[in-house]
Amino acid sequence: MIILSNICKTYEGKGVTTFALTNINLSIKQGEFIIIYGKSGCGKSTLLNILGTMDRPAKGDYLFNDTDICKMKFNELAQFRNNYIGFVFQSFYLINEFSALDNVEMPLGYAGVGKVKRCEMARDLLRTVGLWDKMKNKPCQLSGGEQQRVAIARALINQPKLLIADEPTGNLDEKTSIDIMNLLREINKSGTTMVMVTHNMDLLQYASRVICMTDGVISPKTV
Amino acid sequence: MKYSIYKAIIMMIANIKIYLWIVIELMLIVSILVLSDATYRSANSEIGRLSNIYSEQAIYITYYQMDTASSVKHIKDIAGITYSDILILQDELPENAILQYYISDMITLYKEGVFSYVNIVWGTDEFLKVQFDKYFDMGFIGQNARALLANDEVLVLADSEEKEIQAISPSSLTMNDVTHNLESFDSNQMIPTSFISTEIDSSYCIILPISERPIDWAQNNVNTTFSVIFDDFGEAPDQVNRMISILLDKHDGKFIYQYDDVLSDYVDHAEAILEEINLFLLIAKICLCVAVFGITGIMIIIVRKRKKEYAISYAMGACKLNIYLELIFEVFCISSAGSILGSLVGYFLTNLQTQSTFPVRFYFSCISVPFMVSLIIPLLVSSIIIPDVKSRDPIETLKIE
Repeated sequence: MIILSNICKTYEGKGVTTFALTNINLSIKQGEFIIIYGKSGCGKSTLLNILGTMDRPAKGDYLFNDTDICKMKFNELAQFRNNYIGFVFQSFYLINEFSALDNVEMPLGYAGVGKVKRCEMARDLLRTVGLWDKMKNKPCQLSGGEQQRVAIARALINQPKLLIADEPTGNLDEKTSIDIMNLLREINKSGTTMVMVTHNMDLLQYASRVICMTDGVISPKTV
Repeated sequence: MKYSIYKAIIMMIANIKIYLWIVIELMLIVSILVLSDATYRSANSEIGRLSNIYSEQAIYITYYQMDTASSVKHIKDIAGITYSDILILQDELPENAILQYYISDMITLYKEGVFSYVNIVWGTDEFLKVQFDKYFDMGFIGQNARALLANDEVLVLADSEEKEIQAISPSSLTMNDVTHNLESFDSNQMIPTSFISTEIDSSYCIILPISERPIDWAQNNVNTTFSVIFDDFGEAPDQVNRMISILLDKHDGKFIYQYDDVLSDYVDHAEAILEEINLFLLIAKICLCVAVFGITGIMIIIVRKRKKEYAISYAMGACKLNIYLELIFEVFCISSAGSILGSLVGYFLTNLQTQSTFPVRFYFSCISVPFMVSLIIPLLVSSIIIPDVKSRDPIETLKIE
């Protein structure tokens, strides 16, 4: 489903070039649950952003279902994300002014789905993640775990092929983390390809494949 | 697009408190704008009205160059002058053709019984020298020229210095004569062989055609025109003033020759109005700057604080157009709400305005300024914010957040 070939990413700053990713070659099959593991600053989030089309590589090729992502323009990428990719962030990134229902509806809105349909779909998903009674609540009225469930529901609303999760349990307690990971595993089992970034070794058990990263390259060693 | 508007509405409702303050602020500014605009327009209208009133109270001053007969009738209708005699004081030299018109008109009116006497007096030496000397064979009539009565009828001119009275006999001056083409004018036929000498008669009324100034200039420079006119009165040749004095005596005060007082009153009133207008205009200008730049600044600050929201929207699949639409729609709604409410408040304030020295009326054209404000603010905000949003990297934004 996904093929990354010789992906490089550099950051220029004050005359210094930082190599965030160096010659990353990665192939991801449909239905995999991949966890990218590594220490802070090793480039795992950069890789995740490139996979999620939020960032562009400096060099290399990125094929998603044989589509060359690197040739897409900004708005084409936005549409691509809307259709194929779901995001779950460590800090949830919910819109505080929106209710849980409105937050979940958002990707559907940008996809041009009508109000009734998207409301119905959002309700179903919120029911699935166990928040059917808190649909009207705003993020500030929800716990961290509940907020992350809303974020997961939002990521899934467009039935994405790929779900990107950047430290989804980073801001949660242990019990809630386990709940969230179980939820992600169930989503993966339903056929959604999952790529997750973490530095928590306890979560590696959920992965079908673990990719270790060190200093911007994929480490050959396995965990 | 629908979702962008929907989202913008939700954001506006969510931020209702902040936006309400902006709307109230804009509403107050716009209402002052509308009020000052209405005051300005009303004041202009009042100045125009005053000019008419004072014209009627004094000697009606007409600017009809080529249609003296109509002017005279108009004067009689509007000013209510019931006197039957008309004296023309000409402060600037008319062209030959115009001169002929005047004479022709006067005679027409005379024959129609509108006036019992028609006297034409020019107050400048140059005219008398060049025109009359040439066409009426009356010789130069100097500064002390006097208008005289000839046979109780039409035109008399005289040179008092030489004590020789020269006049045109009314019986000898016909319509054909005065409408005669000047090129083929035969002065010998026009000038009677005998003249009647008499002292100036007081049975005159006055018309003062300011013939050389265009009517549109006069209408737009009412104050100046009045000053000039009255100044000209003051500088009129002695014989003109003398005739006016005689006229006033004759009519025993019924004919009000009050240009000095009128000028003074008018200037006082006009100055009061202008002071008020200037104050309002100053307020309006300051308010306009505050409205446009102040509200724009506030909106920019508010919108910039929402960069995380835009970054999330990008991540969720929003394209740039979605973001711009949300942004512009929000700003437009707020500025429009402020402008509409401000216009309504301005309308009520205008109707409540009773302290002014003149009546203030609401003009629908006053809402043109608020309408422009409601467009300018979103344009300004979007022109500043859109490049900012455009250049923002969603990833970096989320990282910072």
